Amino acid sequence: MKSKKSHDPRELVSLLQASTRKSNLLVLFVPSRDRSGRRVPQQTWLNRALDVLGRLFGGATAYPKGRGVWRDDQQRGKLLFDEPIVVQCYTSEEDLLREAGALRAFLVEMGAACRQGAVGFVIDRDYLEIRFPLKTQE
Amino acid sequence: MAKRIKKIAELLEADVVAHLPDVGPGYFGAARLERIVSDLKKQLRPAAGRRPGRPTKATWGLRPKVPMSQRTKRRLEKIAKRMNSPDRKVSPMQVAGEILERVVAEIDSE
Repeated sequence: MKSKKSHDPRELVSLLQASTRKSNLLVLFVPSRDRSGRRVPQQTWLNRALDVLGRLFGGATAYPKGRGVWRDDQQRGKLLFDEPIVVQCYTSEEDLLREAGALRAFLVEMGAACRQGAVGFVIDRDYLEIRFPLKTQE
Repeated sequence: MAKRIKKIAELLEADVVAHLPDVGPGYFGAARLERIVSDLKKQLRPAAGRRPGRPTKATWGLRPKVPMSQRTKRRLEKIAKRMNSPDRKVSPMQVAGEILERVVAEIDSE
């Protein structure tokens, strides 16, 4: 069915009886390899990510694996190739501010367990990183 | 865009490494471009009067000549054609105007 009339977003929200509360997009990358190139239990961490995002923000969607590269400047610019899984989560600034501690705890846990140089994530149009120091055995 | 991104980054103890462009390559670029044109379409309104003409944005009061290459013009035509829907059409130059305004606003805020 085609409609001749176009509605503004507020009108659509009312017509759909929807909510515009979750207007911020959080994107996480679940790694497949550590910074030495060894495989990590990606599916386990994907499940954990979905669980955490579901609990903290009400839902998330994971997309099929992509191909990625990250330059590890602590290893003289070594290029680390992997196949990250991108997870998208619609949320709000209020929820991000309220749940920042729990979100950080998960990101740090995943980054440390997967021996990452950094955990990268995107909030709307800003790319952020939590970096990890290079351990000598790596 | 998150208005309190500095505060959120501080709480997460994370560094804001980069501010992403509104349009980029690949899946996310396509999604952003779609959103730009979709937002534009929602803002287009026929002007008041007996002969309202092509719907336009209320804030667009000027019609300046903007130079561009044939290639860019063709790409804008392609984007506009792809984004047109039966209930709302956008012209290639309306797409250009919207992209230009967003980029200038971004430069202005940096």
